[in-house]
Amino acid sequence: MKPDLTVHIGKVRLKNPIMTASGTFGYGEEFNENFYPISRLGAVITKGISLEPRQGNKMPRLAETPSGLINAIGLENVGVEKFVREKLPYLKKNGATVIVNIFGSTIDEYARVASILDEAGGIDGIELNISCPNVGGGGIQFGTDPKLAAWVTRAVRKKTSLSLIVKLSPNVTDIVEIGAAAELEGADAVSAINTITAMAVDIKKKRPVLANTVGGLSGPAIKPIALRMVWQLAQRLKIPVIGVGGIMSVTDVIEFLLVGASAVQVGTANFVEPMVGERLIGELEKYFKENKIEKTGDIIGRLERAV
Amino acid sequence: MIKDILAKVIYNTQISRNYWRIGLKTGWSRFNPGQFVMLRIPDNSVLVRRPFSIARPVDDDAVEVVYKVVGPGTRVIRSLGDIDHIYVLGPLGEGFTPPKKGKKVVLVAGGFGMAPFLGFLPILKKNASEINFYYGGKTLEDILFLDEFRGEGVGINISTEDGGLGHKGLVTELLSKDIDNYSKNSVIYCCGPSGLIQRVVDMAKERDLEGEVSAESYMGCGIGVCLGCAVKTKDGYKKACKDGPVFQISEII
Repeated sequence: MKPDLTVHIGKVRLKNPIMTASGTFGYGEEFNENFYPISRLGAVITKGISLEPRQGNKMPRLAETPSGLINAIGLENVGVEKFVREKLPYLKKNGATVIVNIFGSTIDEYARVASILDEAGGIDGIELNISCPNVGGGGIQFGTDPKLAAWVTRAVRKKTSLSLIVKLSPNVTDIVEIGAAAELEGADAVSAINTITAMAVDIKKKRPVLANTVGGLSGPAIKPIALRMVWQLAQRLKIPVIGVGGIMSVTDVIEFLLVGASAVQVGTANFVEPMVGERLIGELEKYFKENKIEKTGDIIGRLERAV
Repeated sequence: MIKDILAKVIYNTQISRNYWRIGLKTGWSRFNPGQFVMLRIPDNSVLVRRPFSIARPVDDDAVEVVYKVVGPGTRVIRSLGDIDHIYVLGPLGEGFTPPKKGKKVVLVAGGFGMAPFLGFLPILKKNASEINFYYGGKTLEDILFLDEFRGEGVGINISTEDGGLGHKGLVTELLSKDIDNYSKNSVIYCCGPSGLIQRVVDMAKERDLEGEVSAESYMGCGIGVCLGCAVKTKDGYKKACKDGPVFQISEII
């Protein structure tokens, strides 16, 4: 009997728990044209979109580390208007389940982008990137303060009834506190984790490798931290937790599901192996069959206590 | 179309002290010179793929890549033998535009930046009225494949920083001696380190000469989704892996 991989996140029905992470998949076109139909994925999460287009940071924007990659791209994107006009139609035409990642430098910007996307139609959900500085209020990252996280979630919640996922920053003392604040303000789910603030140094030049000095670390190096944070969140929150951080294999996917993730996002792995999204879906089906798991819900959060 | 192929290593041969050429059975051999591939390092000791220019086709189902051993990734590639396989993602990017008939072609290269010119040479010979190659390196060890260009009707001008071969100094010094011979009817192609590219772009712009450069860049995905390989052009940031690596001289700031 074929296992049922479906998962529900808010109102969105994902055909399987495998999503692609924001910033690692563009707007879907490169993968759809060359590697596999993006309609196969549980969902495509787009590159983060802001109200106005952003140019991004100076180069170098990338630094490789052991089992990881630090990026300081600088949230380069085409802006919400061009996204709706040029990128969204391609995603819809090719049958993708589309979750649009958004960010802003003020609460008002977040709300306006959410409003525009809500009106555009054809979008299955919104993911809030709150790892951005509140430029309007002293530059503290929205995601590091539960009050700010609550405020931005509430402001966006008012503007849209689309499924709302809040993407949590790991650069905090207590990620559960932030997740709980988002839940209280009506988030349908949280995703954890965004990248970990990190740095690389070039000893020949005696300078940081990145033009921005610091960036966000992703890849297998961060998986143990992501797992721990997803586990902590899933213990406490009632809304679904989506696991992100260093997933490369089906074993990684199972680990996240066991600790309580309802679905996962694959990010950096897309650069290493463009076919990874489709491969994981097939391997997950095979794993479920071999282990007599009938549906995804049967394995979510089934981690036993440590003896 | 871009494919990720587990290619058999056909050969892996040393050229000089730090340079090697590797034959990869990709199942495809057609590409535009200037395009590149992203190789996945087989033992997964490093995470991110490495970009390499495609030098030339091998038969009808393989390609040759020329590489310099500079770090942990290329050290692993050097260790591969003809029983090994490696993932090859490509062909990637936009290649050089062949010259119009009758154009005087100027090739400028630094070190193993000359690799794409190996595959480009047969195409150039079809249309170019003349081909002049300006090729520089730090030492004699960095001057590769001269025999492929000798006897092909190509004017060859060599420079090495230590004077071990040809002119002692930079290749742009050699080019600037001849630059007045080149005008509207010439086209420049340049491939090499960023410093060389910038100097050639500046020289060409001063004299309103047209041509293309292949921009070297750190890369993440190689296919245009990570935005990690931005190149500053007159129309804003473009992607070296997808809009390039070949750019018009007039586009580069």
